[in-house]
Amino acid sequence: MARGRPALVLGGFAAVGLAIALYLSANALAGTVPACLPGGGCETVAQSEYSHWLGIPVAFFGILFSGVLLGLIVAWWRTGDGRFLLVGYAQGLIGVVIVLYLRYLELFVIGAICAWCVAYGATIVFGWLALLVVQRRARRARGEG
Amino acid sequence: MSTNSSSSGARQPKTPTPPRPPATRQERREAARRDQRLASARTVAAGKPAWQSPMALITAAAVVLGLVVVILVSGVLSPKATVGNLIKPLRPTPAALVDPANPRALGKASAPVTLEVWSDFQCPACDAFATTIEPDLIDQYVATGKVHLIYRDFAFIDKGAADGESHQAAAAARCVGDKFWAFHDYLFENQNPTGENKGTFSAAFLASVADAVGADKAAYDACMANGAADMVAAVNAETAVGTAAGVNQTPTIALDGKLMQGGALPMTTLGPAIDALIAAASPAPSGSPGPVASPAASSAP
Repeated sequence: MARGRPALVLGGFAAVGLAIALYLSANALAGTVPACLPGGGCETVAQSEYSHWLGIPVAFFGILFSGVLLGLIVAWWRTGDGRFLLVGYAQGLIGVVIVLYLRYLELFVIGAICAWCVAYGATIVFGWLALLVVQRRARRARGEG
Repeated sequence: MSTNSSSSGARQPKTPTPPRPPATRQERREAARRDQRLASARTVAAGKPAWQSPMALITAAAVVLGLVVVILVSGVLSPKATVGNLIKPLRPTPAALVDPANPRALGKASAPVTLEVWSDFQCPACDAFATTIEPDLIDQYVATGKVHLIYRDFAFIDKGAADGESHQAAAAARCVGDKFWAFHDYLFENQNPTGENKGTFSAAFLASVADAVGADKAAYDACMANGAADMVAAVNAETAVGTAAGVNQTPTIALDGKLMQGGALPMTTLGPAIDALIAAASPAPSGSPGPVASPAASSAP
């Protein structure tokens, strides 16, 4: 299976996620609030108690998450080893569960929606769906299913 | 390598069009890898049901791991201290800042800027303001002597009912005297996240909050007797003043008496507005080139 285009799509999602996480982390470090997107709410979310885990801004975990995902995709692209895809698939699924929990917090606990956080969550969910498709195609190409 | 090539050849009759034989070393290597995986997949498929396939197991493990992370994180995120059934405020207002002349005010009355917050204890946006923005406002501007912060009642969510939750909560907050700000912090921290006028601020609940903040119980009970009629009247009078001044939503913030639009204004808006008022109020020193942006204003994004 040709890996160039799928890797570009998967890497694109991870890279966008990484960029958003970096931007949100920079804001958290500087003590500023992310630029307002339609809908607002970032101020409320950023200043809520849920914006930090164990005293660390949640956005920092986003850098780690998307950075590792991007690394896995690059490793798969370069080697063709399906295990990288499999680990990325599992990591992405964990991310989807966490993203759903964070959206629940925004909607029902904090009472505000941060468009940046929604955009980051979208890169995780759509990235994982893309990974699922690529993973299936790769398995089919290997004759596994 | 050679054994793999031969196994590849054994499969050829099953395919309608035989694939082109691997020409390069890279292609041969990939073909060998493919055959190996195919053989291993067949072994697995022959011996185990579909739900035991590696993919299904990995999916289940990832979902479980994700849920474990969520449970751990939610436990870590919400270690809310409680008093009885009450959640303790995360960032309580420093009692030392309470204005001795007005228990519903913080800071020095002589501060260069007066900031009034028109609020309803049932209002979710007031909750967001009180628990997330106000603590920073107090730290940066009230504690430093720049702002005199006054809480104003604008009780409207219970539609003016004297025994409604907005009115009774506001009356109870007045009945705790100099414990007003602690009471205020508890009310917002324990506000009903599922909606207004649903019985959260019951008489028993308000009494438990008064107890938690250490209010004089006898004085509180006396003040709240008969539906706290005197305090409710005071709440209504202040709400009427707010209406006359143009308040039509909560929270509404007024700086030196001037109402600001936008509800729960963030510090990025409030800070520069307060700094501008302070700069305008302080006479420029002689020889000064002109107004200089304050550090707080220049740090805004």
